[in-house]
Amino acid sequence: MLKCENVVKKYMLTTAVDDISLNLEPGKIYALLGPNGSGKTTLMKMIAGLVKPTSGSITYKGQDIGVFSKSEIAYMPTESYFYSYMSCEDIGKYYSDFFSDFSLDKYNMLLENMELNPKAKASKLSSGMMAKLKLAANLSRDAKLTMLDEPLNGIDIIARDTVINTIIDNFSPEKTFVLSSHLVDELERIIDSAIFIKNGKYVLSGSAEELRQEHGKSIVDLYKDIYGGASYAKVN
Amino acid sequence: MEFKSNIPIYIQVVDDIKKQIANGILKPGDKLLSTRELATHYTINPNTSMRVYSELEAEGITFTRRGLGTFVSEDINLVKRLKDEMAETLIQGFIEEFKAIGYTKEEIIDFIQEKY
Amino acid sequence: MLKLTKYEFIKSRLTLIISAIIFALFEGYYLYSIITESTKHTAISTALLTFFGIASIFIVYIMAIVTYSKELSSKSSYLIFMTPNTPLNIIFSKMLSILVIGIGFIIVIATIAVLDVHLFFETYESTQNIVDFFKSFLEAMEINTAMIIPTFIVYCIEFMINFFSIVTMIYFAITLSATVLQNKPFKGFVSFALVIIFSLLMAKIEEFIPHIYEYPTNLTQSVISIVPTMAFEFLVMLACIFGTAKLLEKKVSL
Repeated sequence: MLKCENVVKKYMLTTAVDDISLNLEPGKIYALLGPNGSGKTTLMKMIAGLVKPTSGSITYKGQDIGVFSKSEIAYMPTESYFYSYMSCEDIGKYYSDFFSDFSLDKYNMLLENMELNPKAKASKLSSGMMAKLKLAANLSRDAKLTMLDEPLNGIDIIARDTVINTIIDNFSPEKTFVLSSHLVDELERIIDSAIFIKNGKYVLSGSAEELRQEHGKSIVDLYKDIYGGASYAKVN
Repeated sequence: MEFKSNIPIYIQVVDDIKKQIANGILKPGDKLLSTRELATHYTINPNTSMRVYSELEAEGITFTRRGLGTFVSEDINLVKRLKDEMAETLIQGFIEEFKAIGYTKEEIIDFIQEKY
Repeated sequence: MLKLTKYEFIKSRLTLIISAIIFALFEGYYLYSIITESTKHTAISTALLTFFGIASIFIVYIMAIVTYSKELSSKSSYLIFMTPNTPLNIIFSKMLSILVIGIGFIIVIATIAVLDVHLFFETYESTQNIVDFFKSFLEAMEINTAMIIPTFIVYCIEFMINFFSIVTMIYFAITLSATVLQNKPFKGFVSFALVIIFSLLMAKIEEFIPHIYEYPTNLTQSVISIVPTMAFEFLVMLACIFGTAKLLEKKVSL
């Protein structure tokens, strides 16, 4: 459904994404794993159409990223991206205006579940509330590919259940979810597959179950193996 | 429910359901949660919950009625069978572990008498 | 595209409200001066209104440029670029909102101006004689006074097209800076230099555009003679709009 072929993104001083190829299939929940700066966000932004690759191609259902892909792909950035004048209500209206797969009823219900006041202004929300708002907006879409960048960051433990349950509820065999995170433990149980990225390069991927069997450990421990070396001074 | 990482998740959920049938929480003929509800209940991937039910069905423990849901088998021997199967697995490990710390058969029996 | 335009309006509403308030204050002052028949206050308020009227048109366009530039460098651009709209639609929506706001300003200011002038002549009756004299003077020179307003409108349109072509050029330069030149040093300087160069180039080319009537004998002819220049500027505007959209499509990097 979503194919990335030899995608590269170079900036002035760095290469954010270095020759990554992958294939996302419908009916699966993927974890895109790697520490900050590993290229996860850049990759998702390229799929969302916010950034154009330096080279390589990205196709959605066989077509280049464009109007069609944007109508079926939802991307939730890590930052706050709403206009400062917008209230939660305004954001609902905006999404209704532009996305035919957006359900205002679902959005209002999620706002209520997460205890967000519809009249509250985006600029006045705490970071925790903003995190919940972004999720409410994006999970109220019935997108075929939903990419959530660090969905559990800043979300309190109670709300996490709401978020994870909403993802599970939204699931269907035609939809794909990509959850990027460095909080692996929370996500381990609900993912089908994991993709590991390091320094913009592809490291490892596969079904969660197979990875666990093959390496004899949880995805969390596998993560520590892959990335742990960089943050700890080696003894030998 | 906490999951161990060395056993596939779906097997752990299957075992949990078997336990519930064995001790009567779930009775023959009872309707089980939908795959979606199961996924939410255990906080697992929906594909995994589908696999749980296909596994249970393959073992003859549950059956599915199109449009109505998944039900515990009405086989009257089911509960006994499950209890026996699970007991068998547990006892093997149990005896090995106690042997490994030097208990004799008589000591194990006395110990159980005392502790149950 | 209309939905996008709606949001462009909403984004500008702070500027619009502030302008409306200032305008209302100046107009209130003018009306006060009329009621009290104070020539001094009338003179001051007329000057304020005139100054504001001219400045406000510039304000509309400067705000449009500043907003676009800020948007491309902030996260709120995500909102627009994630929606299923082509970059062309996005740029058109921005141009449309600028156009509508610009025209809106002109209509409001012109209407109030006409009313104010009317009030002026009613209050200061002696000045009507001067105007009548001036009208006869013009007619004696064989200038068709009835054509003055339509001519003024045509010159306004030419002015707007000229302004728009500059605005679109600046949009193109800003987009260039945010896309192709994103990783290059001195990108601000380069885009600024490009705008200057393009404007000078445009002015140079316009010197060579034929005026249909070299020496127009009446106002109709002078209007017709600026049509080629208008057409050229219109083409420049279109080129910049399509160029900007193309850049966004191929090289966007938010």
